Amino acid sequence: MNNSYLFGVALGILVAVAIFAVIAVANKKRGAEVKYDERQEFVRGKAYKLGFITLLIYCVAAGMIDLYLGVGWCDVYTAMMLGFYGSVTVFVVKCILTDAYFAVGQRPAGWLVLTGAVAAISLVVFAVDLNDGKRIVENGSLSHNTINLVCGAAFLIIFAAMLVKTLRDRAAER
Amino acid sequence: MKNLRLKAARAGMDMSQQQLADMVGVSRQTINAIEKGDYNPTIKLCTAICRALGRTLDELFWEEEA
Repeated sequence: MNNSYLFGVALGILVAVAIFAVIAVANKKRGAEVKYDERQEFVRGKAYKLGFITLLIYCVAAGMIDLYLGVGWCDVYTAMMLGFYGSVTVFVVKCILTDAYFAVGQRPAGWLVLTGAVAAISLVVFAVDLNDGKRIVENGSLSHNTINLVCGAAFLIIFAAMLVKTLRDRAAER
Repeated sequence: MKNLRLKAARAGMDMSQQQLADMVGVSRQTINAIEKGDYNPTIKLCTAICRALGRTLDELFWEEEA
Protein backbone atom coordinates (compact mmCIF):
# COMPACT_ATOMS: atom_id res chain seq x y z
CA MET A 1 0.00 0.00 0.00
CA ASN A 2 1.66 3.25 -1.07
CA ASN A 3 1.43 6.75 0.39
CA SER A 4 -0.92 8.05 -2.31
CA TYR A 5 -3.39 5.25 -1.45
CA LEU A 6 -3.26 6.12 2.26
CA PHE A 7 -3.67 9.79 1.41
CA GLY A 8 -6.74 8.88 -0.67
CA VAL A 9 -8.24 6.90 2.23
CA ALA A 10 -7.62 9.77 4.66
CA LEU A 11 -9.14 12.26 2.21
CA GLY A 12 -12.19 10.03 1.71
CA ILE A 13 -12.75 9.81 5.47
CA LEU A 14 -12.39 13.59 5.82
CA VAL A 15 -14.90 14.24 3.01
CA ALA A 16 -17.40 11.79 4.57
CA VAL A 17 -17.03 13.44 8.00
CA ALA A 18 -17.45 16.90 6.40
CA ILE A 19 -20.64 15.81 4.54
CA PHE A 20 -22.16 14.36 7.72
CA ALA A 21 -21.22 17.49 9.68
CA VAL A 22 -22.90 19.73 7.07
CA ILE A 23 -26.05 17.56 7.11
CA ALA A 24 -26.12 17.57 10.93
CA VAL A 25 -25.74 21.37 11.12
CA ALA A 26 -28.41 21.88 8.42
CA ASN A 27 -30.82 19.57 10.27
CA LYS A 28 -30.18 21.40 13.55
CA LYS A 29 -30.86 24.78 11.93
CA ARG A 30 -34.11 23.48 10.42
CA GLY A 31 -35.05 22.06 13.80
CA ALA A 32 -35.23 18.58 12.28
CA GLU A 33 -33.94 16.69 15.30
CA VAL A 34 -33.08 13.03 14.75
CA LYS A 35 -35.27 11.21 17.26
CA TYR A 36 -36.02 7.51 17.53
CA ASP A 37 -39.09 6.35 19.39
CA GLU A 38 -38.98 3.68 22.12
CA ARG A 39 -39.69 0.73 19.79
CA GLN A 40 -36.98 1.93 17.39
CA GLU A 41 -34.44 2.29 20.23
CA PHE A 42 -35.28 -1.25 21.36
CA VAL A 43 -34.95 -2.70 17.85
CA ARG A 44 -31.72 -0.77 17.22
CA GLY A 45 -30.30 -2.34 20.38
CA LYS A 46 -31.06 -5.78 18.97
CA ALA A 47 -29.52 -4.79 15.64
CA TYR A 48 -26.34 -3.56 17.42
CA LYS A 49 -26.14 -6.95 19.11
CA LEU A 50 -26.49 -8.76 15.79
CA GLY A 51 -23.80 -6.55 14.20
CA PHE A 52 -21.51 -7.13 17.18
CA ILE A 53 -21.97 -10.92 17.07
CA THR A 54 -21.31 -10.85 13.32
CA LEU A 55 -18.04 -9.01 13.95
CA LEU A 56 -17.05 -11.46 16.71
CA ILE A 57 -17.72 -14.48 14.51
CA TYR A 58 -15.81 -12.87 11.65
CA CYS A 59 -12.81 -12.01 13.88
CA VAL A 60 -12.63 -15.55 15.29
CA ALA A 61 -13.00 -17.15 11.85
CA ALA A 62 -10.43 -14.84 10.24
CA GLY A 63 -7.99 -15.36 13.12
CA MET A 64 -8.42 -19.14 13.08
CA ILE A 65 -7.79 -19.39 9.35
CA ASP A 66 -4.64 -17.30 9.71
CA LEU A 67 -3.36 -18.97 12.90
CA TYR A 68 -4.12 -22.65 12.48
CA LEU A 69 -4.13 -23.13 8.75
CA GLY A 70 -1.17 -20.85 8.23
CA VAL A 71 -2.90 -19.26 5.30
CA GLY A 72 -2.39 -15.51 5.00
CA TRP A 73 -5.68 -15.09 3.17
CA CYS A 74 -5.56 -11.28 3.12
CA ASP A 75 -3.60 -8.30 4.43
CA VAL A 76 -4.46 -6.72 7.80
CA TYR A 77 -6.04 -3.56 6.34
CA THR A 78 -8.32 -5.56 4.02
CA ALA A 79 -9.29 -7.94 6.83
CA MET A 80 -10.22 -4.98 9.05
CA MET A 81 -12.35 -3.35 6.35
CA LEU A 82 -14.11 -6.64 5.52
CA GLY A 83 -15.13 -7.01 9.17
CA PHE A 84 -16.21 -3.38 9.34
CA TYR A 85 -18.40 -3.49 6.24
CA GLY A 86 -19.84 -6.90 7.13
CA SER A 87 -20.96 -5.99 10.64
CA VAL A 88 -22.19 -2.50 9.69
CA THR A 89 -24.22 -3.95 6.81
CA VAL A 90 -25.86 -6.48 9.14
CA PHE A 91 -26.75 -3.69 11.61
CA VAL A 92 -28.12 -1.32 8.95
CA VAL A 93 -30.15 -3.95 7.07
CA LYS A 94 -31.68 -5.25 10.32
CA CYS A 95 -32.63 -1.67 11.27
CA ILE A 96 -34.11 -0.95 7.83
CA LEU A 97 -36.20 -4.12 7.75
CA THR A 98 -37.59 -3.45 11.23
CA ASP A 99 -38.41 0.24 10.61
CA ALA A 100 -35.72 1.48 12.97
CA TYR A 101 -33.16 3.02 10.62
CA PHE A 102 -34.92 6.28 9.83
CA ALA A 103 -35.85 8.53 12.72
CA VAL A 104 -39.41 9.66 13.41
CA GLY A 105 -40.56 11.82 10.48
CA GLN A 106 -37.41 11.19 8.44
CA ARG A 107 -37.87 10.41 4.73
CA PRO A 108 -35.76 7.73 3.03
CA ALA A 109 -35.61 9.35 -0.44
CA GLY A 110 -32.38 11.30 0.13
CA TRP A 111 -30.66 8.32 1.74
CA LEU A 112 -31.75 6.08 -1.14
CA VAL A 113 -30.01 8.40 -3.61
CA LEU A 114 -26.91 8.69 -1.39
CA THR A 115 -26.46 4.94 -0.83
CA GLY A 116 -27.11 4.22 -4.52
CA ALA A 117 -24.50 6.82 -5.50
CA VAL A 118 -21.89 5.45 -3.06
CA ALA A 119 -22.48 1.90 -4.33
CA ALA A 120 -22.18 3.01 -7.96
CA ILE A 121 -19.02 5.10 -7.36
CA SER A 122 -17.31 2.27 -5.43
CA LEU A 123 -18.09 -0.32 -8.09
CA VAL A 124 -16.97 2.00 -10.90
CA VAL A 125 -13.69 2.73 -9.07
CA PHE A 126 -13.20 -1.03 -8.59
CA ALA A 127 -13.82 -1.64 -12.32
CA VAL A 128 -11.39 1.14 -13.29
CA ASP A 129 -8.74 -0.34 -10.96
CA LEU A 130 -9.17 -3.76 -12.58
CA ASN A 131 -8.87 -2.16 -15.99
CA ASP A 132 -5.65 -0.47 -14.87
CA GLY A 133 -4.18 -3.89 -14.11
CA LYS A 134 -4.64 -3.91 -10.33
CA ARG A 135 -5.30 -7.39 -8.98
CA ILE A 136 -7.78 -8.78 -6.45
CA VAL A 137 -5.35 -11.51 -5.38
CA GLU A 138 -1.69 -10.62 -4.88
CA ASN A 139 0.89 -13.18 -3.73
CA GLY A 140 -1.86 -15.67 -2.93
CA SER A 141 -3.92 -13.39 -0.66
CA LEU A 142 -6.70 -10.84 -1.08
CA SER A 143 -5.27 -7.39 -1.67
CA HIS A 144 -6.65 -4.01 -0.58
CA ASN A 145 -7.93 -3.56 -4.15
CA THR A 146 -10.97 -5.61 -3.08
CA ILE A 147 -12.12 -2.95 -0.60
CA ASN A 148 -13.97 -0.90 -3.23
CA LEU A 149 -15.77 -4.06 -4.32
CA VAL A 150 -16.74 -4.88 -0.72
CA CYS A 151 -17.82 -1.27 -0.08
CA GLY A 152 -19.87 -1.26 -3.30
CA ALA A 153 -21.48 -4.60 -2.45
CA ALA A 154 -22.31 -3.45 1.11
CA PHE A 155 -23.94 -0.23 -0.09
CA LEU A 156 -25.76 -2.12 -2.86
CA ILE A 157 -27.26 -4.49 -0.26
CA ILE A 158 -28.26 -1.50 1.91
CA PHE A 159 -29.72 0.28 -1.14
CA ALA A 160 -31.73 -2.83 -2.10
CA ALA A 161 -33.05 -3.23 1.46
CA MET A 162 -34.10 0.46 1.56
CA LEU A 163 -35.77 0.21 -1.85
CA VAL A 164 -37.72 -2.95 -0.99
CA LYS A 165 -38.83 -1.53 2.37
CA THR A 166 -39.86 1.81 0.87
CA LEU A 167 -41.92 0.13 -1.87
CA ARG A 168 -43.54 -2.24 0.65
CA ASP A 169 -44.42 0.65 2.97
CA ARG A 170 -45.96 2.64 0.12
CA ALA A 171 -48.06 -0.36 -0.89
CA ALA A 172 -49.17 -0.86 2.73
CA GLU A 173 -50.11 2.83 3.13
CA ARG A 174 -52.35 2.58 0.05
CA MET B 1 -52.13 -10.52 20.73
CA LYS B 2 -53.71 -7.92 18.45
CA ASN B 3 -54.96 -4.74 20.08
CA LEU B 4 -58.28 -4.39 18.29
CA ARG B 5 -59.59 -1.94 20.93
CA LEU B 6 -56.86 0.52 20.08
CA LYS B 7 -57.53 0.14 16.37
CA ALA B 8 -61.28 0.58 16.90
CA ALA B 9 -60.78 3.67 19.09
CA ARG B 10 -58.48 5.24 16.50
CA ALA B 11 -60.82 4.42 13.62
CA GLY B 12 -63.74 5.69 15.70
CA MET B 13 -62.10 9.11 15.80
CA ASP B 14 -61.50 8.89 12.03
CA MET B 15 -57.77 9.07 12.67
CA SER B 16 -55.05 7.41 10.58
CA GLN B 17 -52.08 5.59 12.10
CA GLN B 18 -49.85 8.44 10.91
CA GLN B 19 -52.02 11.08 12.60
CA LEU B 20 -52.00 9.19 15.90
CA ALA B 21 -48.24 8.62 15.55
CA ASP B 22 -47.66 12.36 15.01
CA MET B 23 -49.78 13.20 18.07
CA VAL B 24 -47.82 10.92 20.39
CA GLY B 25 -44.39 11.48 18.76
CA VAL B 26 -43.63 8.02 17.41
CA SER B 27 -43.35 6.50 13.93
CA ARG B 28 -46.38 5.14 12.06
CA GLN B 29 -44.77 1.71 12.10
CA THR B 30 -44.72 1.75 15.92
CA ILE B 31 -48.49 2.37 16.08
CA ASN B 32 -48.94 -0.40 13.51
CA ALA B 33 -46.76 -2.77 15.58
CA ILE B 34 -48.80 -2.03 18.74
CA GLU B 35 -52.10 -2.65 16.94
CA LYS B 36 -50.77 -5.90 15.48
CA GLY B 37 -49.50 -7.00 18.88
CA ASP B 38 -45.90 -7.12 17.69
CA TYR B 39 -44.70 -4.53 20.20
CA ASN B 40 -45.56 -4.09 23.87
CA PRO B 41 -45.43 -0.32 24.59
CA THR B 42 -44.14 1.26 27.79
CA ILE B 43 -46.61 2.80 30.24
CA LYS B 44 -45.43 6.24 29.09
CA LEU B 45 -46.46 5.57 25.50
CA CYS B 46 -49.70 3.87 26.59
CA THR B 47 -50.76 6.96 28.54
CA ALA B 48 -49.82 9.25 25.64
CA ILE B 49 -51.99 7.16 23.30
CA CYS B 50 -54.86 7.16 25.82
CA ARG B 51 -54.70 10.96 26.12
CA ALA B 52 -54.64 11.36 22.33
CA LEU B 53 -57.70 9.11 21.93
CA GLY B 54 -59.54 10.32 25.04
CA ARG B 55 -59.69 6.84 26.56
CA THR B 56 -58.43 5.24 29.75
CA LEU B 57 -55.65 2.67 30.12
CA ASP B 58 -58.23 0.06 31.10
CA GLU B 59 -60.28 0.70 27.98
CA LEU B 60 -57.38 0.33 25.58
CA PHE B 61 -54.74 -1.85 27.21
CA TRP B 62 -56.13 -3.91 30.10
CA GLU B 63 -56.48 -7.59 29.27
CA GLU B 64 -58.81 -9.76 31.35
CA GLU B 65 -57.39 -13.19 32.11
CA ALA B 66 -59.22 -15.95 30.27
